[in-house]
Amino acid sequence: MALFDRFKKKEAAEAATISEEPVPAAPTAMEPEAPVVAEAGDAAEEAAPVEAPPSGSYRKVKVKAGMKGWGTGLVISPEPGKDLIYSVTGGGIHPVAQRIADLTGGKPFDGFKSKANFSEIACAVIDCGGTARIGVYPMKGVLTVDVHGASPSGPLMRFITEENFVSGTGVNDIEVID
Amino acid sequence: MRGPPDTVGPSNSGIDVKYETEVSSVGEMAAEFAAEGILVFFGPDAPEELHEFAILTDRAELKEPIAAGDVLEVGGTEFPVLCVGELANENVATLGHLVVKFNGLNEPELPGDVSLPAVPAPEVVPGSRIRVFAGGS
Repeated sequence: MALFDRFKKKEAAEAATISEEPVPAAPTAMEPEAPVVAEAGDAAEEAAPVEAPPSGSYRKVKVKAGMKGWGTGLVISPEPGKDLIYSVTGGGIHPVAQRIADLTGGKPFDGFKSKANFSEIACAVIDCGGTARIGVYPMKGVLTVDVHGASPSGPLMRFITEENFVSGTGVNDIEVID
Repeated sequence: MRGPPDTVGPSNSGIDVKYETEVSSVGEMAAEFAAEGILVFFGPDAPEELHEFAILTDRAELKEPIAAGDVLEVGGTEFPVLCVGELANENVATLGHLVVKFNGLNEPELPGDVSLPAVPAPEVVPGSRIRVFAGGS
């Protein structure tokens, strides 16, 4: 099991703090118009509202690693016929998948409820602890966002690279780029 | 050996079955994981791309969180649970997703793990029963 050893320490450290999400700062000069959201819910996970792109059009986003995450970030760029934001997570569409969909104009899609072809998937969002899903989607050539802060690990870790994987991502680690 | 499940009463038995399901299919590549001492279970709704690596099980309810000291039965063989990662119970409860590692570790290697002694993973076939019993306390 030498395969795992080098990550063991890091994972153990992450395991202790994995549920902590960075608390977003109050609206800054970057978002002067950001209105206050008065909805009930987890304030720490509340992302600043951003207008969706016009119906039928798409925007690119940069998805960054969270504070406890791994990777240099991915650019998610849905296009016609390849616009599914594929959530393979417990409890339905994950807020991170929803956020990517909202910002890009992609379609949120629950991988546990319906079936999709890989050719239709702009990115997969997983909540993997580091064994199976973490490697399956990179191996299949799908850009993969893990909401848990896992580092490459598991029997398929050879398929996981900075070009196809990022982790520890929260709703505030996603930004529109042009 | 444990008694059959019908001897397990709601309150008058010392044996508490926390989780019980049956294997419905074993993916072609599941053996690759098993060779590394890892069994990856998913419930029946797992998307197709996970089927080749996973062992699919019937839908089942996790009645109580799995904890160190419990006993996990895989296909008729019982193993003591050494430790349970902090994501493991959520995975089982929401996705039927159980990651069992025969690695002998007392601290979880990864947060989704349920660790068992470092012995070869038992063979799992369709029909194999998976059960978790509460540890005697």
